Order: sequence, then structure tokens, then C-alpha cells
Amino acid sequence: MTDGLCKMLWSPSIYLPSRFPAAAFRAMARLDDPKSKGLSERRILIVEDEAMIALDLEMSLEDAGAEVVGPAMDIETALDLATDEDDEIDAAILDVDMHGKDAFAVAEALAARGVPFLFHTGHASQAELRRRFGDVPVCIKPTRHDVLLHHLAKLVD
Amino acid sequence: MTASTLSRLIILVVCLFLAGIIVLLFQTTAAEQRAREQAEATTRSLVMLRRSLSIGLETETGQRGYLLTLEPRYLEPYLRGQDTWLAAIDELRRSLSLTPEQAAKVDRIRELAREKLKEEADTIALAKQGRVEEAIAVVRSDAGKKIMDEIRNLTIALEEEEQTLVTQRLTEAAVIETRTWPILYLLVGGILVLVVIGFWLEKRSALAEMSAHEADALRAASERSDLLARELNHRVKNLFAVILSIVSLSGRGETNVKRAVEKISDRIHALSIAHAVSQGQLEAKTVPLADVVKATIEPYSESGAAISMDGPDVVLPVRAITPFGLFVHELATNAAKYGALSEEGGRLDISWSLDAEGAETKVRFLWWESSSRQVPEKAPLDGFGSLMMTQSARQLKGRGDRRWHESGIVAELVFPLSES
Repeated sequence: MTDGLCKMLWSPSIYLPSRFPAAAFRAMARLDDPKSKGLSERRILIVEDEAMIALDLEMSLEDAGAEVVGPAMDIETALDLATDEDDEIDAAILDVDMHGKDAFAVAEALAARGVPFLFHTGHASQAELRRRFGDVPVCIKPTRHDVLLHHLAKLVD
Repeated sequence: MTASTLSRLIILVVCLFLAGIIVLLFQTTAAEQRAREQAEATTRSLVMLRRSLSIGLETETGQRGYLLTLEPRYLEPYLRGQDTWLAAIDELRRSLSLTPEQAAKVDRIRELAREKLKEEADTIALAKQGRVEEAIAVVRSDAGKKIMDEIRNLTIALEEEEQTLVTQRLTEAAVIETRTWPILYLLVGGILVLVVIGFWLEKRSALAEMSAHEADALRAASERSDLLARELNHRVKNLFAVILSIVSLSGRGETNVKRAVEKISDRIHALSIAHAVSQGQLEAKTVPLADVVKATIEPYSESGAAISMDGPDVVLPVRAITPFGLFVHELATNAAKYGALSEEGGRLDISWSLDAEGAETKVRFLWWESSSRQVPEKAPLDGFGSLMMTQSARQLKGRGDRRWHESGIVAELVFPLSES
């Protein structure tokens, strides 16, 4: 089993060995924690240029009770959604490489609004992300969706 | 110090050495010239001094011969010398460049010559008057002999001085030559050494340049392969993510495990076809649209349905291949299960065109199925399949549409070519 790993930058304690048991992930994800509101009724922006991944994320989020903003499949749409103050966003999942363009402008717009986000990428250099965005979680593709949602839930808590 | 500064320095030093060589050669030649001129002058002086002395001696011989014999023919040398002696001395005085001391000596010689000529003239005059005894007495008085001795001594002194001058100049020339040759050898040797060093430097810098080029080429190649490896790694990660999403999406709402597995494997197969038409090349930028369509419907070509394809040459950017391939795959797999590709006698007409809309070029892709049957029951369209098609169209920044017409499914996909 190739478990996707999600790392909190500057927090190596979150680094997980690749053969971490799936049960442990579920426990960690606390998806069944009744006290946590989790992601339900949260508005989550998805920025992802790969249709299947976007669709899958969208459905997973909807399963978790979240409301999906987007998914934005190009930078322009993503920027429009991220900067629209009327549209409330609780958190965002950002792919970094969008048709060869980076999504940093979207990340900066979200940071300016105080919207927490995480990176979900197979491309970006972690050093570059760390330098620009400090403590933002970075989930390397492919990451298990329960792990991704766990991090997202921590961002909106 | 850079190589070029060093080369310039070497050229400068070589030029200085060459200038040194020229100065030395000039000095040596000048010294030799002086020595040669002196030798010529001395030879001329010696000849003239000898001539003058011999004329004097001849006049004396003539005088004595006459006094002894009283025969006028003995007077001949005297008479000749009487005319020429003083003239020869004057010529010597005039034509030679003499030091003041030498000039004084020559003047003294002239004075003595006149005295001698006078003594000779007097004695000859006496003899002619028959007073031979008196004349011989004058000769015996040794006055004439003393004059001649003094003339001879002065002449010898002058000759010696001239010889000394020549020797001196020759010595000077020799000294300069002796001094010059080792320096010349050194300078020539130095030039040779510098030229060799210059060549060596030139060769070394050429080699350095070449190896720098090689290092650049190597670095570029290694950077390129690193880049390709990174790109490949990213694509594989992305592909895994897409596969996982397809698996997860295909499994949704599907209770029949066999059907779920079929859907999953079909869709992964479609992914692999999309990958195959781009030949997995990292650097392929475009792939013909027709190739994607052909590869995607190829597994259903044995269905017995008539398939036509028609459209202009359109090349898709690599990024468009996966969504476009998945879109066509959903249509094909559906057609194979329920539509035109599921029956003998079905028809599938695939066509596409390019529409210019403002600055944008749009691809209009049309999928038209016709069933030979009356198609009474319109099978429900697969919900997730439709969702995947819509999503693929969105990835292409276009829109997809699928609906029933009287004899089958018609689907249309319109997307911009530049941005997809």
C-alpha cells in the first residue's frame, strides 16, 4: 500500500512512515469524532486542474458534509473565487501546478483574507513552499483523502 | 593575472628584447665602421708618408750622384723631387685629418724638407761652379744627414701614431663585439623562450576553453536529465492520484463488485491509451486528435458496427489528451454496452471541425450514434460517467453535452484549442 503522506512544514513529528496502518489513519483523522463539527457545513474551495482528482475531492468533501466552492480548474477562476469577498470560504485545497502556472497568487489572496489552506501537489518543491508560506500543510499527491480531510478539519477548527 | 594580460606582457618583453638587439647590432656595426674608416685613413697616411720620404731620399740620391760624377743625368731624381716633395707634403697636410700634434709634426717635416732642398740646391750650385770640394764639405758637415734623420724619425713617429690609432679602434670594435655577442645570444634565447611560453599559454587557454565548453555541455545534459527525471516523477505522482480518484469515483454507488471492477479497469485502460498516444514522451508537446480518437475506439472496432471518422488535422496539447481521452472513452464504453457499438448494423459517425471564435479557435467534436433497432427503451445514462464527462469538459475549459435523439446517443464537446 502506498500511503500518501501529508507533512506539516516545520513539524517533523507529523511525518508518517509509509507503512502506517490504515486504521491508525482513521483514528488520527477523527472522522467519527462526534464532538467535532469537522467539515460539515464548511465551505471549501478546491483548486485542481486534473478533472478526476477534482471530482473525487469534491465528492469526498460532500460526503463529509462540506460545501464545495469550485472546483476551480484554472488560475483565473481560482483567483476570482478566492478574491470574491461575498463568497465565504472556510478553507481551501490548492494544487500548485496549474497547467504549468503556479497557484501562489491564489495562496497569497487567501492568506490576505485569512482563509486557511493546504497544498495538495505532486510538483512543488517543499523548500520553495516553506520559504513562501511557512507553516502551511503540504500534502504530496497522491494523499489518502481521509488524511487530507483530517488536515482540512484541523485548519477550520 | 589573466592569460591575456600575461600574453600582452610577453609580447611587450619580446618587443623590448628586439629593440635591445637592434641597438646592440647598431653599436657593433658603428664600432666596426669606425675601425674600418680608421684603417683606410691610416693606410692612406702611410702611403703618403712613405712617398714623401722616398721623394726626399731620391733628391738626396740625385744630389750625391751629381756631386760624385758631375754628370747632369744624376740630377734627374733631384730635379723631379725638387718639384714634387713639398707638394706631396702639402697634399698630406691637406688631405688627412690630423691631430694638432700630427699637424705640427707634418709642418716640421715640410720645414726640414725645404731646408734639405736648400742645402741640396746650394751644393749643386757650388758643384756647377766647379767648387766641388766645397760642396762635398757641406755634405760632410752632416747638416743634410741630420735633416734627413729628423725627417725619417718624424715620419716613423707619425706612422706609429697611425698604427696605434688603428689598433685602438680595432680593439674598441673587438671589445664591443665581445660584449655584444653574449647579450645577443641571451636576448635571442629569451625571445625563443618567451615564444614557447606564449604558445604554451595559448594552447593551455584553448584547452581550458574547450574543457569549459565540455563541462557546460555535460552540466546542461545532466540538468536536462534531472529535469526530465523530476518531470517524470511528477507525472507519475499525478497519474497515481488520477488513478486513485478514478477508482474511488468508479466505486461510488456501485454495489455490483464485478461491474465496479469492469468500470475501473476500463477507465484505467482509457488512461493508459491516453498515455500511449503521447508515447509517454516527456517532451512531446502535441498529439493529433484523430490519434486519440482512434486509439480510444480501437478496442470496439470488432463490434460489427460501421464507424466513420471525419475532420481536419487538429493537434491537441499534451495536457488535453487525458480529459479528451476519458471523455471519448466514456462515450465508447457506453456505446459498446447499450448503443451503436453493441449491435451488428449500428453506425457511429465521429466528426470534428475547427471554429474560429474571435481570437480563439474552438474544436467542435461530434459523436453521433445510430441504431438499426428502433431503440424503444432508452437506457439510463450512467450518472457517474456523465459527471466524469462534464468534469473532463471543464478541464478542457469547454462544455460537453450528451442527449438522446430518435435513433441513438448524440454527444458534443466544444473546447478552445489554445487554452486546453
